[in-house]
Amino acid sequence: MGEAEEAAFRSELVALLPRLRRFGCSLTGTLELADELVQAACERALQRFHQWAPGSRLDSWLYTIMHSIWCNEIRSRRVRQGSGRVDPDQLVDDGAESQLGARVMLSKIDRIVARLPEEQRAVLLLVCAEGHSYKEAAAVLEVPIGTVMSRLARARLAVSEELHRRPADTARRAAQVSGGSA
Amino acid sequence: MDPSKQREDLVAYVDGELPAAEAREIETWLAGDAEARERRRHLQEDALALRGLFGAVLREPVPAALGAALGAARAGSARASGTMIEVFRRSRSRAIGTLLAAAAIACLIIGGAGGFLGGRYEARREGAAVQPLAANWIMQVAQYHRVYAREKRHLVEVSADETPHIESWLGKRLELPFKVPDLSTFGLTFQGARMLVINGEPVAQLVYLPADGRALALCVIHSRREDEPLTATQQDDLNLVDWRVKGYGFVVVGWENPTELRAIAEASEKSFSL
Repeated sequence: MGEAEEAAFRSELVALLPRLRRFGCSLTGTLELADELVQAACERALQRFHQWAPGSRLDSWLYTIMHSIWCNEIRSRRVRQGSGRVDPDQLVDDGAESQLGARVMLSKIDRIVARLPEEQRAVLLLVCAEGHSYKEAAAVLEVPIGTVMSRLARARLAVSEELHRRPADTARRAAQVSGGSA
Repeated sequence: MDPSKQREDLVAYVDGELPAAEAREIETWLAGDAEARERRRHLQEDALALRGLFGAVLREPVPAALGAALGAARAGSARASGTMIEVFRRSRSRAIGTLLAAAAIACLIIGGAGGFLGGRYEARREGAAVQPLAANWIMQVAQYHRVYAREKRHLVEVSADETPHIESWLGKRLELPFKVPDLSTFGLTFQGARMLVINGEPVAQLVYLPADGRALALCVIHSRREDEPLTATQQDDLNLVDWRVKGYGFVVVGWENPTELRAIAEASEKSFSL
């Protein structure tokens, strides 16, 4: 790699840092883990600079690296410390809302999303905030496009339900919870 | 069709990702089902709001520790800053050193400017990052309020002496005739107004002061979303109560407690010809 090329690559990476951290937060549920992940991914990207096809999306490439480091190294390290095998679709990080919320101002919709399983958070972020197509998101997350579609749909419907719940629904739900007749 | 598959397809339809044949089925369903149409509208609105997902993370300065450690690693003066190196001992490579040092410098520059520029800092960072925050005007109102409430001579742009002018000027900008709400029963005196711009929309900010304490503001903006009841939220020490009615979003922001703000909110609304 030429020196000028490498310098340009680095400065592009620097410009991406805030977005990499945001994607990291959606995956890990905390800013601290996100930073660890971003750092590891940048190191790897620089080592593998030659594998990146100029002209393709650098952000997607970095997201792919981050997702793989998260699944294969950082998260698996934490899972091993915990209870063994986990279905990523079921992996709800209860702390995400409070841990992220302690560091940054979360909007109403952020809080709802923070309560979703991590794979749903990641796909929402890629498609809705980063404007990836389903196909691009599938490549980043290394899953079939059908999986992207169903995870995204579950996430979007859950968010929608929560945001647009009418007062009557809330009352009915409360009645059900308290065992009253609706 | 299986209803859960149908809902899944609706999401893909809204995202423009559904193949033509399935899209036609969804359109047929939508044409004959008002509830489905409502669901679609909600999904479309949510998509806008989700563009700003975790937007606050974008505005967080990249940790200085990252850059400081890497600056040291790069210069080969690792011993001089041993503690930093311990924290980031994994970043030994020269390359990552340069990268993160650059990030730290960028962060210092942007962070430094942010301290002085307040609201403008937000706009610049957002622009540089990815997409504007579509949804959260309330968060931005809180940020403006925090900055302006510290002002003494420049608390407002147009003072309360010119109340009739404020009413006609902001009434026109909002396309909503109104009278400045009289909040004297809450011990609040109207100080004047300012026009803010959030997400490209004019926002009327009416500012009040209690006899002893910090400013309170009532802000009004055009809203494309449907009505929403009063909702109390908090951003750090600031309390907010927001609601949406007939195409307008309202928020009352201040250091009063939420119950007080709610009462103020309820009293204010009738001054607007909705």
